Formats: sequence, C-alpha cells, structure tokens
Amino acid sequence: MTNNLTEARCIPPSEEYLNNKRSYFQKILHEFANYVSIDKSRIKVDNKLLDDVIVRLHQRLNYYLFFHGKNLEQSRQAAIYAYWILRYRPLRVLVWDKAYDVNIYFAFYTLFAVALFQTLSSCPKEYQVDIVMNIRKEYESDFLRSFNEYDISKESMMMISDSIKSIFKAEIKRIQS
Amino acid sequence: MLATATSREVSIDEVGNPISSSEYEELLIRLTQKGYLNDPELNDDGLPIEVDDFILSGLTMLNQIKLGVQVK
Repeated sequence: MTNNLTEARCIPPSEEYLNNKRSYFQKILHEFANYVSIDKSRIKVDNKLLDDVIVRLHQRLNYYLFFHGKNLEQSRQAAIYAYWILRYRPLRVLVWDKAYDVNIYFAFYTLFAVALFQTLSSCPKEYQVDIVMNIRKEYESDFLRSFNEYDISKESMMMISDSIKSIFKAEIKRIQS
Repeated sequence: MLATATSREVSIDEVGNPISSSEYEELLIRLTQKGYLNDPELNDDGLPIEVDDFILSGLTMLNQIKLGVQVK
C-alpha cells in the first residue's frame, strides 16, 4: 500500500508530455491575448514556472484518481489549473494598463471559458452574446478582485468554478424563459 | 524541484500561432467523438479528457462571441 501510494504521488510527467502541454499552452495564450485585446508578443511566458503549473495539475489528477478512483471533472481541473497559475504566475506583460496582474485575468478566464464551453455550447447562438455580456457585467469585477485580494485555497477555487458554472446555467434559464 | 519566485531560471517564449478555424472544428469533433457528451469524465481510451481542450474551446468561443458583440 505504501509503495502504491508513493508511486501514485511521484510519477512525474514525461518530457514529451511537458513539451505537448507547453506547445498547446501557446494556442491557449493566443486566444487569451485576443480576448483581452493585447498584442500577443507582449505576453512573456516563464517556461519553468509554466512547467510547475503543469506538473502540479498532473500530480493532483493522479492523486484524485488514486484516492477517489475517478477522474477530476473538467471545471474542477480548470480550478486547480487556475489555482497554480495564481500561485506561480508564469505570465508577464511589461506594460499592462488593466487593473490587475495578467495572471489574474488568465486564471479567471480559464474558469470562465470552461464553464462557458460546458454550458453554452448547447444554447442557441442568439442568446450567447447577451448571456456572456450579462454575466461579465454582473460578476466579473467581483471575481477578479477576489482573485487579487484573497488567499484562495484549491477547494475554494473548485467551489468558485462550480459557482461560475451555476451562474451560467441560471442565466441561460432566465434568458430563455 | 519546483521553482520558487527567487530561484527560478527564466526562459522566455513568444506566443505561438493561433488556432485556425479548421483546427477548432477538429477539436470540437474530437471532443464529441471522445464521448464527452455521454460521459464528461472519460474519453474513448478510458482516460481523462484533459482540461486544455476545454480551455482552448471556451476561449475560442468567447472570441467568437466578442466578435458578435462588436458586430452588434
């Protein structure tokens, strides 16, 4: 049992896995840069810190699979991802005119994007713009401020992720009624 | 082994190429084929669908919605 436990916790991701993740991250970052309207070349990535985020998420997935016998649901994976982004802060922008650090926006939009994809994909397109605008207007600044000011645990981040998903579901229901 | 803010070795990369619309379509097809709609936790190999695909799909969708807002 002890050996299994040790193995479950310590299997490091392969170099190939890390390379794939790093490369995929560049696509994610491009979409993020587009969304926050920043020239993509102005966002710099510290690859060492990005690797730390990837390794931590990988460890958590292994841990969850071992102790709970199932995989962590995607919005909760996003929460762990966002948590480590906030801790390690792998992104830097030299001149940034927004209210908070770029990593705070990236962490928030990670949760927001996953919740959106999970709930809004099946929603008619004519409603999608209004739903996103309403939610951003109502909640975005509060979440960003919380990410900036509070020391949020992994479990709290998972609750926040669940809450964002619930907000989407409630808004979809409201706007369709 | 994990880096700290004070002892890190910094290596910098430029942001890579954007996802094309055909790549995005492929991604959506892949998520559907992997059975996400039937079981959000598992793909067809019985392995977890990693969150990267969801983040990329969600951000791409957000950008499409942003374009819709601008048109509106």
